[in-house]
Amino acid sequence: MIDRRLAEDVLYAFSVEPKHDRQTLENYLRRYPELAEELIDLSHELRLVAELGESEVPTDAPVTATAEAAERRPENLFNDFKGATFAALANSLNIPRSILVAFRDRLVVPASIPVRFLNRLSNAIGASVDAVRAYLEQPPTVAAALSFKADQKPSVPDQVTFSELVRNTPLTESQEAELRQDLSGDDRN
Amino acid sequence: MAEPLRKKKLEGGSIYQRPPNVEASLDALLLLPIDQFVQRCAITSRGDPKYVPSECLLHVLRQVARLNNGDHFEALFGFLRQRILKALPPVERFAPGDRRASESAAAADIRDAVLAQFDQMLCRDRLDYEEHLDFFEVRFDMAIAKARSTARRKVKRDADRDAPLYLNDEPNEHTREVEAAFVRLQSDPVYEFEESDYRKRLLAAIDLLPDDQRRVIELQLQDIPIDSCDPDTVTMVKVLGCAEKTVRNRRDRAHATLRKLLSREGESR
Repeated sequence: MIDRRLAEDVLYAFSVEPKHDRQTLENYLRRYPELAEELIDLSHELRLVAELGESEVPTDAPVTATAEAAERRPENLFNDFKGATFAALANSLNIPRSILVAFRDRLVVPASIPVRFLNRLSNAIGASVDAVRAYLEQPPTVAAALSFKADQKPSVPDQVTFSELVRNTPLTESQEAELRQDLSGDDRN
Repeated sequence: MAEPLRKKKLEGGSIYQRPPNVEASLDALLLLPIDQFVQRCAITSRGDPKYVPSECLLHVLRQVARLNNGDHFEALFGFLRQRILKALPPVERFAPGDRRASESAAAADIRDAVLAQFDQMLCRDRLDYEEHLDFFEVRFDMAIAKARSTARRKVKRDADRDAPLYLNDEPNEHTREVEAAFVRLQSDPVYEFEESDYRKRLLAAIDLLPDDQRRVIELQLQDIPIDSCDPDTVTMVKVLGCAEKTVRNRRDRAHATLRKLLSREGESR
């Protein structure tokens, strides 16, 4: 009996061969006759991968975030950032998700946003500064999930200034340093 | 330059190397700050010039995991799971209409088993070094085929999958159109859209065959002869360890089943 770890090595080695033609399969079948069934099954699987293409990613999956997509739909800047991609966007900006949520829902007074932060946000989203500014200048939204859960339709919350938002949000040291730089580069509040 | 892989080849003992295009992508991507890298991993379209190949995503994820960088790990891990799911072939989509529901259920079980395998490998990699993950840095999608093959063996397939599909026809019945389809499948890598759709449905139907019949069909597609006088030739009889008549019966039953599955599919479309 062939050792299971070696069997795994053989099957993985076969899977990454540059070609999966008759000659490659024959070579493996000659060398590892004990693994014939598994090799033939794998040959079939490799054919499926090569011919059937990709599966559709489930709906809650991260979607493509390209600069082009963002430019095409300036009114829906955050549509490409949901779930894991939303978290990744917050990470890339070095801010807590709650701050990014405030931006998504347009709860920040647009004029209070430091230019440095605005630049960082537009770079991260992959949209122009003008597109981001135009988005943030629209009226605040109520998160869809919130409307769904509440007994009564929630009222649109008041906007806060950028510095208030930063002051009232728990931050890590590195996040605080980053946001302080945003604020110090700009005298708005 | 990215850290070299460690897995040694079975023959010769040299270390596996990533393909040059993967190395080149890695060289460029490793210059990016990690937050920008994470951001680019969100791009799912392979045609996008900023698309991060899955081999590179996995490489960085392994590095991040060892550094215990929780935030980036979480995000990259999420992206990697999506890549795994995407790399699994959508067999159920091309299965005959009346088999699609059971195939979707089977596909869900296989997906879970593949993800579980991957989780285990990443855990081991974080603690030590899981050499099998090196294969995924060489050819991600093909190594996923290996993971799916293993998962499939573990997952108990839907009960009707193992039930006889085809009982009434004589096994030797002439199945010319299926034979013709095989010839096209073997010899014609370039095909029109409709032909391509037919190939996909044929492959999905092959996937539904009982194991022993599917293996004969796969060997037939690889052009491996049933039997040969030459003792050095790899043959189905030798590889499968059964009599020539048994191989022929399996092949004929498989052809009859495929014909039925594909004609049923034709009616339901």
